Amino acid sequence: MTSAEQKKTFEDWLSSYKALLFKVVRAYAFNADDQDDLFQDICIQVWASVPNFKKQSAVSTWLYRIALNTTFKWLRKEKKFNKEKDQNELGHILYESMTAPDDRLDWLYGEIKKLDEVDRSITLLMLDGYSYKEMAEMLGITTSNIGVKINRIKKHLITRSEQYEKKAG
Amino acid sequence: MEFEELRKIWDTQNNKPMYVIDDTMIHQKVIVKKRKAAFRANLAEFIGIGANLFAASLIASAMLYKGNENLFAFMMMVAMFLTAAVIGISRARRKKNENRFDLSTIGELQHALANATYHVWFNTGLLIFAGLIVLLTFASILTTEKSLWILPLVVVFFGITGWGARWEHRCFVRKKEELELLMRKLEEETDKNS
Repeated sequence: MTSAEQKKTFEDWLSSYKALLFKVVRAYAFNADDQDDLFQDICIQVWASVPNFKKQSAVSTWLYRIALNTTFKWLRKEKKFNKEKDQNELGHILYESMTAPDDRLDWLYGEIKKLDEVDRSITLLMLDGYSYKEMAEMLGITTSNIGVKINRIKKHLITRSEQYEKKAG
Repeated sequence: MEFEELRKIWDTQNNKPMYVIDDTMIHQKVIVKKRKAAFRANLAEFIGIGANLFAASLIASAMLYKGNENLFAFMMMVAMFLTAAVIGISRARRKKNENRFDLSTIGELQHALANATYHVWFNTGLLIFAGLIVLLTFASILTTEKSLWILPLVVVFFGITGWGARWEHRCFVRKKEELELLMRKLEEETDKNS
């Protein structure tokens, strides 16, 4: 693959699947600095992965896998170094769109953030309609374990949504 | 809410971008990156010049005052003085070329990228040079029988230093890749807007 082909594919992927990457970023990074940092890490890995893509899975599945693996590595790095944030970098490349699609989405992200790392990734994949088998392959967990976790997460989210609706009146 | 309702809420973000890119902030961030890249390059040059001059002076002092006439030590001293001079020349060239970048976001980023690329090149050169110094050090020790006991210590020292240098080099390469990626993203945005 030539460098130009790699660039073209990367740009196509970024333009078509930006939303997918943002979902992962938003679920795992909770301030603008971290979101920039994680998004950049994911983009670098996506760029590097372009020549390795053998079309054995959908592009979205491939990107999810890379985004989640990169995120887990990023989380380990964050924990390990607890790095100082650069106070000079007051601005952020990414900022949330003023037109949030749905207020309930903020609530949903809030609930997802409260889950542990693995449950969070399962929730993202589940909401995006991935099969148990695909999730198991991406996360290295057995299908039956995925099933158990999904049932528990679904129950939890439905209970929380009922509480949310009651509060919202 | 039923689970399908949650999924519908989730799907709303597929139609509209959740994030937008702030041009002013990008410019500010690029300026910070440019300053950092310049700082790292400057620091590497000063350390490179200082360390080589210091080490070469030590060897020269030992040769002058202790009458050490080891050929490999002499070669090492000359190599270090020459390296300090080469770093000084490449620094002067880098500084001279800094004026060719404009003050636009892309220009500032190209400037940052030029410094980062220079830094990676510079560091690669230093690693190769360090290999030569290792060889000369071993040769110097081996030709001085009385100091053979130092050899294991030197092996450990160079081992640790080499590991650290490789780790540091990977950090510099990563910084450069980050800037290249930012450049690609900016170019992509510019293409869309033109």
